[in-house]
Amino acid sequence: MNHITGNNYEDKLLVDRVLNGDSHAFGLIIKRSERVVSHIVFKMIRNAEDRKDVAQDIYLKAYKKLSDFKFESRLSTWIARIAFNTCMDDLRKKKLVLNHDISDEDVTELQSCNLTEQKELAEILKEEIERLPAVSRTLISLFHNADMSYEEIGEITGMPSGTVKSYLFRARRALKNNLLAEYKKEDL
Amino acid sequence: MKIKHLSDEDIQEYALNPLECDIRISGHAGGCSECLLRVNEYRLIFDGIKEQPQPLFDFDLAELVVAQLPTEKPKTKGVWAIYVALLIFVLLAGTGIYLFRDYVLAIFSGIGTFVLYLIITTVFTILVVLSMDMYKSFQKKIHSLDVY
Repeated sequence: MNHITGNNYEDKLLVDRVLNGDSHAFGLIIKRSERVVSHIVFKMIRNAEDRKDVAQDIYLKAYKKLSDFKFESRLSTWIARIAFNTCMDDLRKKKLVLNHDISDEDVTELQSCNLTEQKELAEILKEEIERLPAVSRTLISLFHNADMSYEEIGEITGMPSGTVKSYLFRARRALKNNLLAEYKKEDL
Repeated sequence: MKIKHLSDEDIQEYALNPLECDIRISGHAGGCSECLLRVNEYRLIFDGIKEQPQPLFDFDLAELVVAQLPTEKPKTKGVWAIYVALLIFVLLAGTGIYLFRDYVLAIFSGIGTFVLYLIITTVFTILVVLSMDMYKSFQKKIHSLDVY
């Protein structure tokens, strides 16, 4: 059953307008979904220029497939799914290993950070999050920063919510262990 | 006796939602200093993650994408659809009245010509006003989405 209520009603109005040739309405769709898409793109794509290309690619794909959208989820969730898959394709194309994708350039970037004696936890945390695998840091961002549920993240990533929960547990544990190890290293 | 502490998953669950946790978890965490320490470590991390800045594109993504979309004139069938619908209604009503004019005349034979004229004019005016109101309401709903 396709039950259109609440936000889905506004989504339907916008989608109908776009399918009738109103490109301004698609601009509104982009604005409404940009927040969650930015979480995914920023966490999965390191290079700023690549992010710009990938972000555009995501929405152009969404535009082409818009007539296939059946309102079984929120429009922003559907677009986020396209974003996640597009980023995964980009990483595979560049042969970046999804579990260990820290390139030499990234290591240099991290090392060139101004390591003062007393860093803010937020700054250290940011570095440690960036060291996590692409999927793990994306899940952390979607759960903790975008306030999405396990089920919503599951819809975006195509994983069962139980798997998302497991992934997040492991990612947070790895983050904590890395942080503790880093602090101990600095104490020495 | 060796105390069985909470697993890392239980600790994380408690750090995230202490009130929605299983009583087994909340009961142990409330009284175990070692587990509470681990809970607080996670809470510190979760608070730190929340404070991370929201990622923002430093360019106008909507403008860039919209510029690449195929340029087509927006269809204005909305207005024409109403006129077409009204025309169809008038044609159908007129055809019906012509075909069944004897029956119609029989119904209205008792009513004066002037009263009949008033009835028809009133009904027609109400229909036109209702149609215009529905169209305005539709346009208002569409434009209420233009919030950016």
